[in-house]
Amino acid sequence: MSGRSAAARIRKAIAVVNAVADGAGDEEITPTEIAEAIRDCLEMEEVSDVPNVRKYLGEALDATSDGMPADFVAMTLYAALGALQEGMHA
Amino acid sequence: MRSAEGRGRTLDEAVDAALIELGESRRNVDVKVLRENLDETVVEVTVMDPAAATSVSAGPVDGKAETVRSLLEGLLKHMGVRASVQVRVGSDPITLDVSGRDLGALIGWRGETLRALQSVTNVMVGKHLDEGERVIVDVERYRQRREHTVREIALRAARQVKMTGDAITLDAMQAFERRAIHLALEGDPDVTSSSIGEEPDRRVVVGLRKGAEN
Repeated sequence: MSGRSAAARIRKAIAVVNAVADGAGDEEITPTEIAEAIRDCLEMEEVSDVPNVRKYLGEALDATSDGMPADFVAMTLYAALGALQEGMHA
Repeated sequence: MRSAEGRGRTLDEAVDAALIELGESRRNVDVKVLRENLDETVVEVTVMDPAAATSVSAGPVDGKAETVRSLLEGLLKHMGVRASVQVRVGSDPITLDVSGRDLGALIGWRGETLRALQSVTNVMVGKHLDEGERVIVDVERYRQRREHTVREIALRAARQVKMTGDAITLDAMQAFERRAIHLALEGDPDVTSSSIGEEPDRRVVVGLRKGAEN
């Protein structure tokens, strides 16, 4: 299992969330778009192969729908990315 | 604050001329383009106040900033990173400068790890901050240097757009870098900047402003 495409999707979701947090002022990103990016990650089979990745992604999705700050969502996605990368190198 | 005027055929040459006069490196200066045309570029290079870049002891730091600083210092300690954390005096929002030896790993590829560290820090210190208030984390002034770099890229692109009339699409950048470009060009009456694409491949396009085609 490469897991690289899953990592790329998580990175994309992180970039979307960071764009909200950093406020480049060139795009209006809605919570729906963030949720979509996280759901795209959850759809990948690889995320089920590594422990905790699906769990962290689920938490990030919940945090988005609960209206938690962007930094919190980003941190949870970083946790998912970290778990995936640890699993890939295990 | 020391400053000097530099002239050259290109932006780089003008900045270099001013830096030579000041005896400074690019790291700690701010560049303002005073005039540019096909033959010559004139810039004003200002050395940033060293006091504004130094430690907590350099000036009064409010309780909130000190709390945030000690939390980040504690986090780094738990991570096994030997570094000092200082509050950038006069910064708004609160900016924490992390410095030490061999902190490249803390910055990561294109600042990815630094960005993660900032997210974690903001989550940790959130209850000490007002609503909507955020903390910026910088490691070895990477963020500041990167902002300067992209600002220079923006000015160079603007110059080229004015000469050729063709729009230029820059490389994919993070949100804070895109913002630096938009801010660098917002006062230019001849060019405009906008972003296209989706994260993380979102890019800034620099083009001629409507009405400036001639």
